[in-house]
Amino acid sequence: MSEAPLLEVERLAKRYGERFACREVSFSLFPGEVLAVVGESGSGKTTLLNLIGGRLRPDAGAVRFRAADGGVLDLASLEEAALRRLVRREIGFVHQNPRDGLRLGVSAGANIGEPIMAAGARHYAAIRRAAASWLERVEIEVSRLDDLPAAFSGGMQQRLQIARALVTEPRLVLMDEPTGGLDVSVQARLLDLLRRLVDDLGIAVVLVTHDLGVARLLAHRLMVMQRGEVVESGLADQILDDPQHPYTQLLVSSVLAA
Amino acid sequence: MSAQPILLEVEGLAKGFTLHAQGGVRLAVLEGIDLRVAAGECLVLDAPSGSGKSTLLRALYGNYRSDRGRILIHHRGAKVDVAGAPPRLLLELRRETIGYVSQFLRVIPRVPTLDLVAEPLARRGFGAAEAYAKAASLLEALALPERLWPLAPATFSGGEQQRVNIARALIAEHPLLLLDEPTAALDDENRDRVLALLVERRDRGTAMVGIFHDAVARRKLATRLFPLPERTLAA
Amino acid sequence: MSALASPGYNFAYLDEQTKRMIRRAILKAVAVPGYQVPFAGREMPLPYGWGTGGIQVTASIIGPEDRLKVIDQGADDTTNAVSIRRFFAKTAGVATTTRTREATIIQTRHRIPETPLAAGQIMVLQVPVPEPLRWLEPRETETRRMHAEADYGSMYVKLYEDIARVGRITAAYDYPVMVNGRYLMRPSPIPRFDNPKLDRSPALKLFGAGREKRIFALPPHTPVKSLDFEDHPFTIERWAQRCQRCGSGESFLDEIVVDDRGTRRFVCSDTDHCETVLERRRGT
Repeated sequence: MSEAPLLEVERLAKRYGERFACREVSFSLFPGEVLAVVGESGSGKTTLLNLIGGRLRPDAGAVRFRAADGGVLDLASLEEAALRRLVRREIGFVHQNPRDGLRLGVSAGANIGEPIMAAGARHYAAIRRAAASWLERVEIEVSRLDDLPAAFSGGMQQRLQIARALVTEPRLVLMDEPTGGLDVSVQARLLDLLRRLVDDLGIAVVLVTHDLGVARLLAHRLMVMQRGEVVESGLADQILDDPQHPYTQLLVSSVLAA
Repeated sequence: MSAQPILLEVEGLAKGFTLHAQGGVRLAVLEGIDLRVAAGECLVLDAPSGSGKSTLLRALYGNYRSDRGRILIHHRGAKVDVAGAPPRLLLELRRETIGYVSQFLRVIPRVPTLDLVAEPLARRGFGAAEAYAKAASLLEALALPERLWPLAPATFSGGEQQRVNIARALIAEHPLLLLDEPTAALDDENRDRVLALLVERRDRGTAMVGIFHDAVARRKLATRLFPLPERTLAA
Repeated sequence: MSALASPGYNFAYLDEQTKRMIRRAILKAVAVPGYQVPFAGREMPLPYGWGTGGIQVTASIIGPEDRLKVIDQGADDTTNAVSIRRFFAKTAGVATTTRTREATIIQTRHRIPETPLAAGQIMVLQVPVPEPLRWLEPRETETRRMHAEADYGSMYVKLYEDIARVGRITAAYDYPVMVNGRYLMRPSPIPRFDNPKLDRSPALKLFGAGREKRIFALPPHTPVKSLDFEDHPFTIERWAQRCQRCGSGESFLDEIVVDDRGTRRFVCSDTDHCETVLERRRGT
């Protein structure tokens, strides 16, 4: 494992008028690490994710990303087209609602194949094979390769979205409440899958969630946000077992015991 | 005979808890703890219940955040302070140098036993075949029936779960092991198997810090006792 | 040159300022092959869908010395071709012809002539929907961005879906092409058969869409490649029959039902080509 961080966020801030949606956020992320950002609605965690993923422009700070060619780019100051190109190729994004991350009008195979076709793949059989193997990987029957996403359950749609996000093997994946809105048993299966994929592929993940159980299961590290600021950060087990900040203690104690 | 290398040095460790939800009341649990453990030593924490033994172990593992003091671990040829280590370094320490056997298996649901035990080796870069082979031999040494290996431990008995726990902690052969009542849930036969494994590790040079209420375990494993003062509640 | 049949119209109907504006758009289009240039389309004396874009392009470039050919579905004598030819005869008084070789400007809908075009000739094609990605993305802001960033993965998605569902790429006409290795373009509703004629043709090809108000161009010798997969390469239509009029086995054939019993005749869609081959056969 190389020593240079994959992602370095430095004093990131986003303002809407007088209000700071997020401020003074700094952290480094290394390959293979899963960082969960937890907090309640309005804490700024989703804003932070969108800033890292190039969907929002920050008002202050830097988002330094080590690209596949080894060069370090500050996403905050990168020009629009270059930013989108980089993000499309090297950063995966999993939305809370799978329909936001899928093309509902084309088949599952086409959904998974599109990112590699966009990257230049031009052999139909090879594309189809790659799509089929990813379908298997996310535990959807290969026979459903030509089905439309509308024919899938919510949990399957989410797994399809994950396959589409990972097919180009991005080194950084951003996830926004990937298990939100799913039935509990479906959530559980999805978490298992995510855990396995993250381990197998060695990807770095920034995961936004309000569910501490998800954070404990998936994350190595945790950042707690409240009103746009990071109030506590450290190892996931450390924060959950020995919370220091009053807000963190409140969050942890609010979780219903199994 | 040359002295064994010191693998763990604790200096002036202090740890307390501030309960903000209860008006900020502060519990001071550990104060001024100094200790050293060398390779091949098993230090047993000797103190009554509630004295902070578990707290100390968790602090050594970086699971609890220390208030003051240093926890120096011999890692990759240098001394690393757990107390101030950044997350990345702590994760590396846990992967390579410090192992932890807790009292209860934190069940990661739905993962088969063999996979659970093999996982720490997979994280260290071992190939699947080798990792599974080592996992299998450990589980055999702990007499966990083979028919249980493909199953997730959630439905196992307490004793079976604990043996999975121990196998998972031992497989990576960390130079420093922290043990919190590893044999508490085991019957005599299994306890003896586990102790035999631990003694073997200790004699091969593993340094250990442990909590054992069981007299047999103490007798077989301990090379030294470390007393902790009784906990006082701060005002 | 015949005298203007209808006084009271400016030469070729459009005022000179409009022609200049359209020529500027054309120059821009020629400078960026395959890129859709917006232009301020004018009200024309025929509705959208009948070639207003093509007519505006022709009106902007035509001069008194030009010789105009107009075809629709390859034929000079269909209603639309006749109407448009008459329009320019009336408003510009230019010479017209049915012979591809003799024309300086050829306005066409739905076909490219079989006779290869030469340097110095201009072909004007009528385009209903210029945007190749419109089927997938209704937002103009998005399609513009996709072209700017050469974000064309989704076009291949369509081809993939065709093969997955039917076993082959189904586009029979208006088959998408990559121009100069950079811009994705719709070649207008010409059959697949005609796509190869665009590749590095020595003539200037101009495309006009009146309703959508876009002009795009293929300058002479521009590489034009039809999209395909390595294992599903682009193919053109082939017939088992030959033209029953001239005997040609290489042209695009129309299938015509000639009686109530369903008897069919296959004849060249390109009437001028059919005529030319026939004359050669007769030795005239």
